[in-house]
Amino acid sequence: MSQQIDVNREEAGEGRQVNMNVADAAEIQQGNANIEGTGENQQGNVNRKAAGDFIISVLLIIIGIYVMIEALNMKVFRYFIDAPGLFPLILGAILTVLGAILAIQSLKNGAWPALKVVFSKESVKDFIMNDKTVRALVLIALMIVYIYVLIGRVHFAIATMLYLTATMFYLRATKWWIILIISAVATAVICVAFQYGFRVPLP
Amino acid sequence: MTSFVTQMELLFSSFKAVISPDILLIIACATTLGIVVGAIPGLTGTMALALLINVTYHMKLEHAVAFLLSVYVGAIMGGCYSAIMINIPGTPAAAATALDGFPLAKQGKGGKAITVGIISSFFGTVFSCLILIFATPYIYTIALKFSQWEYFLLAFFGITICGSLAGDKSPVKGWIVGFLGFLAAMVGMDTIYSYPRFTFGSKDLLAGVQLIPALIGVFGISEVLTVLSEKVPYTIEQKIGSVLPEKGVIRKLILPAIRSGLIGAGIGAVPGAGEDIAAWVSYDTGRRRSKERDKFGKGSYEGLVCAEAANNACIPGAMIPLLTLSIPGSPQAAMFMAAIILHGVKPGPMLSIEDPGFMYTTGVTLLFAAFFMMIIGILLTKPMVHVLKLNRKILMPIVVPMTVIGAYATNVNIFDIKVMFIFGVLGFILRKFEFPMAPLVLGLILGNMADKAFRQALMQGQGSVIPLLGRPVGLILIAAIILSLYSGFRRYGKNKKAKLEAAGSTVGHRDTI
Repeated sequence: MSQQIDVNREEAGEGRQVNMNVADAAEIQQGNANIEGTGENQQGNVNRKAAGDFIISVLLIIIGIYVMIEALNMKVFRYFIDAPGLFPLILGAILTVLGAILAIQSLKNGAWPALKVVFSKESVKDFIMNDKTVRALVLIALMIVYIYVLIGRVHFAIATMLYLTATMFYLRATKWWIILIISAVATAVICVAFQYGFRVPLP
Repeated sequence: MTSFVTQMELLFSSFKAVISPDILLIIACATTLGIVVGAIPGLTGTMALALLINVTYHMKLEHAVAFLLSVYVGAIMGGCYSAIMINIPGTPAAAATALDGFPLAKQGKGGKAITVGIISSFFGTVFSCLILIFATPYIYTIALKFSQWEYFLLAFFGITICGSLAGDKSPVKGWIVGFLGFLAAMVGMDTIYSYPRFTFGSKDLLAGVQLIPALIGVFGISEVLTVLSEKVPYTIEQKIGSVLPEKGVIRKLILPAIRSGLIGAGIGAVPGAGEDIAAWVSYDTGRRRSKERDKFGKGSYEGLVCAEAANNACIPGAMIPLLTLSIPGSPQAAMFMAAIILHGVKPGPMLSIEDPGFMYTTGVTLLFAAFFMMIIGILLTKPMVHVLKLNRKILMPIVVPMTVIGAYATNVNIFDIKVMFIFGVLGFILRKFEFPMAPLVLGLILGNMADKAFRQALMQGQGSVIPLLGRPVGLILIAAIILSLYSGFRRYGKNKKAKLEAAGSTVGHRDTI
């Protein structure tokens, strides 16, 4: 099913469709499921993208303006044309312009009504309770604990072992005792291979 | 440019150097590693190279070159196994392969399709290698005449063309990411006056954003997050069938393979446009040129060849701008560049004078890697089915400690791990909003060079742009920049129109609500 839709899209002249990675492929499959399921869901997706673009474009314009102000405050040594701030100033201007273009494009694609939908109570609730969001956040949180808290305080091998066990447990990768064995073995292999095999220093 | 005879002598001496047991062994092992990594969906070639750079720190230069290039060649080909068998490209480069490969697998011709794919990958790499070896000396002679102004324009062109190609549906997003890459490169002390920019008073940021940790974050962490945050169960249902293709199939495919090889080499040479784009362009051209056009997408060997030959041909192509102008042709080539710089090789026009043999070593190594890739690839076809069954919920978490080691090992600095993580999360978020990652890498690499070249060019012109506008190469580059911007905007308009027509009913529906 998914294959057929892929090909049709290709032929419908939507142009080259760059499937960036597995997740995208999966998303297409999920998208298909949505099409087959409720029409409402699919429609929400189309809108949401424009809304997301709009939010990003606003952020970009803010960043662009901030960069320009910062660049103008940089020291001018001899001439303005070789000052450290010149290139950042131009970059800030370019980013602001590109942000504005993206904003206009997203508004044309229906970002405004979409924004109202996205920031409605149910929608925010949906987003927070969404499986994907929760999983991404938990995974990021585990990484933060690993990178910011554990590494540097405890030995790298212990930190890695803890991280791997916790992550695999959260993902329910396999049975608990296999997870323990796999994380222990993986930690040992990584530490030994990099430290002694490739003579790479470990944190 | 030195005489043709000297060039040939260099070529032969690099052949001799590469044919040594230790290098051949490294090529064989690294190609196998690359193939396996490339075949597993979620582990991409870019990620493999990013994680393996630190492995090469203590290797000799030739060994490091052989190792990284072989992983690269193997990984791009390896993507075709999963694309054909489970319709999920193992690397983005194999996305076009799935269009014809998966229907073939459904017809029970999976094994044959994989063999054809591997052989066309081999042909693509070899043609492109020949172009690399014989065309690069001429490009060196041109590149030696480039001054600061041309370098600045080249960097700028890199971003506009890469953004335009990579940000397929919305080129503006590609450009935004590219200039964000430039901006990230601005962090730290500026190259002329050592004035700290955007450091927010942090001592760690004075040295700037380190390239390798940023790359590892963007291609390692963000990939792990993308794969693990989705639930992606997949199953292999197709029987693989015989691996020997029908008689005459191979002979018919040589012509498309040559054409795709040329396309791949060309696209590879365009800064930042990588294997995935080469495969799509070649597939599209192949379909238009083919006599059996209607078979494309339904299991055509020809379509398979177009995609597979082009994505592998991209690799030597990507080396051309890297070696001549120090502008990598693809994100993977960027990793390769970072690695050889650590080994003391300075890519760029001066390389043709300082180390003229290096280009030939690169080309010859790629040739051998392609050869090993073909043999090992065909041998691995049947066992690969088991590799594809590996549990990614176990595999992906294990990648994380490796990203940490990779980021840390470059400068032995804990701060770099944090940089890596932040870039990973940023990459993950940007990807969710359909921003391409290739321009970001290019921007990061070219940022400082563009900044320095721009300011120095302006100083040479005594603060005026007018004398700079008189330079012919510069004018061509300016025209190219404008053209890439124009074509980007035009394609956006076209895409939108097509989308509106296709989704006409949906739009109407939305209005009523």
